[in-house]
Amino acid sequence: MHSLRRYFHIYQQIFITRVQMLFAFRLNTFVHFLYGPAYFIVLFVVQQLAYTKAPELGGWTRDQATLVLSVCFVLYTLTFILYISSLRQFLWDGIRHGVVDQYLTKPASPLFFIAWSKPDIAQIPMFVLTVALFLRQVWLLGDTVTVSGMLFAVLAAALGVWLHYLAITTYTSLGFVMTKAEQVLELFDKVSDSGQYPTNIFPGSLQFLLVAVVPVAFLGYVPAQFLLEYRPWHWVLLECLLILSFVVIHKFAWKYAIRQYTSASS
Amino acid sequence: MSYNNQMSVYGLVAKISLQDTMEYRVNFLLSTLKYSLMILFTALVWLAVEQANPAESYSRVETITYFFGAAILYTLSNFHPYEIEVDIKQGGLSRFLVKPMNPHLFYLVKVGAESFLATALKLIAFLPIAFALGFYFQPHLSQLLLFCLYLPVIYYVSFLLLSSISVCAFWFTEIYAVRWGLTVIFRLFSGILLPFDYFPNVVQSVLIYSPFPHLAYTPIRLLQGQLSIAEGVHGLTILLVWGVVLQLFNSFLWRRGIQEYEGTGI
Repeated sequence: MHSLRRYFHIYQQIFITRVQMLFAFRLNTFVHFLYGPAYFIVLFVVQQLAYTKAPELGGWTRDQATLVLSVCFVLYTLTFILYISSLRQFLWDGIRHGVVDQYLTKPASPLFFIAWSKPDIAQIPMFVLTVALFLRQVWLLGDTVTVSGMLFAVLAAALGVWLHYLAITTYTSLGFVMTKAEQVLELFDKVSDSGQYPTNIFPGSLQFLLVAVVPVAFLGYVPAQFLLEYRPWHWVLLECLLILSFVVIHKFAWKYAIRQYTSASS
Repeated sequence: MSYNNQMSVYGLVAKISLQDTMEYRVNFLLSTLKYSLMILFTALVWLAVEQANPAESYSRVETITYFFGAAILYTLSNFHPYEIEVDIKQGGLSRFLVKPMNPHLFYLVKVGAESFLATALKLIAFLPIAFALGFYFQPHLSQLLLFCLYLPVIYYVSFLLLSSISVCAFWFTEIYAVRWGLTVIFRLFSGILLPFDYFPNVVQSVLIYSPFPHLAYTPIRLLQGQLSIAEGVHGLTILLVWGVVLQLFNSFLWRRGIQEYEGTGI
């Protein structure tokens, strides 16, 4: 409990510092605030234009597919605010500049600093926008959305975020082995954009990629199915198995990575 | 300095840029692949649209060919000349006072070498995949030649657009968010994420005079034999006119910006 409070206090300080840093360059920050929503609107427009050409894609109507998109982006933006941005900056600059040295001397886990020390507050407007779209879709599909469906969807989403965190931090550990590994996360990020569509519209090999390698299907497709009163329990079982596998891989990868760290910044 | 010497200086810049890019080969390969994967997923969405409603969309072969072209052309218009901003902020521009080089040409050549290398690499890597998926095209020689003429102009106009934003770092210090925002607009309106003719007519009639559709849509449709030589030349002319306008604007910004430059770095 004491340890948890200490981490909370550290995170609080990190958050305040990030806000102060963000407002040092106000014009850039203002545009940065707009960038996320603009990116989201572009992807939304592409999806909507696809539905002007076909009434259904892979058995999903426009409203249902928009629900998948909104669920996926609510969760993905949340992960971006919380840890993706930190991991990204760690791979771009951190490791080669020897910042791990600083983390090793602080009274907290190095992984905590690597994954949580640079929350991307500028994505908050995008988060608000995606939540608004999500609420609109829930309201539109009100007949099919029930309280139990909501609860199961929240459970599936929580597991999905956990799986996503394990996967992305595992790939980040490659930064200790490769001199320049920033594109590993960039690739992960670009593949993640596909989570906005129902996974079943893609061929089998790419479905496997979106489930087991870049598990973004669990951020949108699976929780949305629970919301729509399907009960894809087999997906949750698979999700649990993947979490177990990634816990083992993650532990091994970070143990190996920290052992490889030579502290030689360049 | 004589013309030959000038050429050899910029030739060296290009060579060093290529060596620099190839220093971290895996990273470069991943950076080249990431957007192509994004476009592959987009292509699969449009293939799903084609399956659902073949009458209202491109045929399967047309879709594959179109997005193959988009993946190849992408790196010529979507890159980040962030080095301009870094040099302005950190005083790196001062080195041009003692070097026989024009900074604008230096960045043009340096970024260009990397973009063309990425384009060539994608062409080699994706041609077999595209053929396996059903890629087919049989352009007329004149259409192929005109397409080749498009390539340097696409890069030049994109560079001018993006570097004009970067040059604003003379006044605003941090400007990367604006540059990111512009690349999002590129992706949507150039036809990389969806064919330009899928937009509503009113949008098409306005944007046809902007440089965006001619950065990807027009050359790809020309290569597919869906646009005549006259239409191709018309698109190229629009791009060239934009090139002249942007070059004047860019030179103006450089001239005014240099007056603001302090060379102290921050």
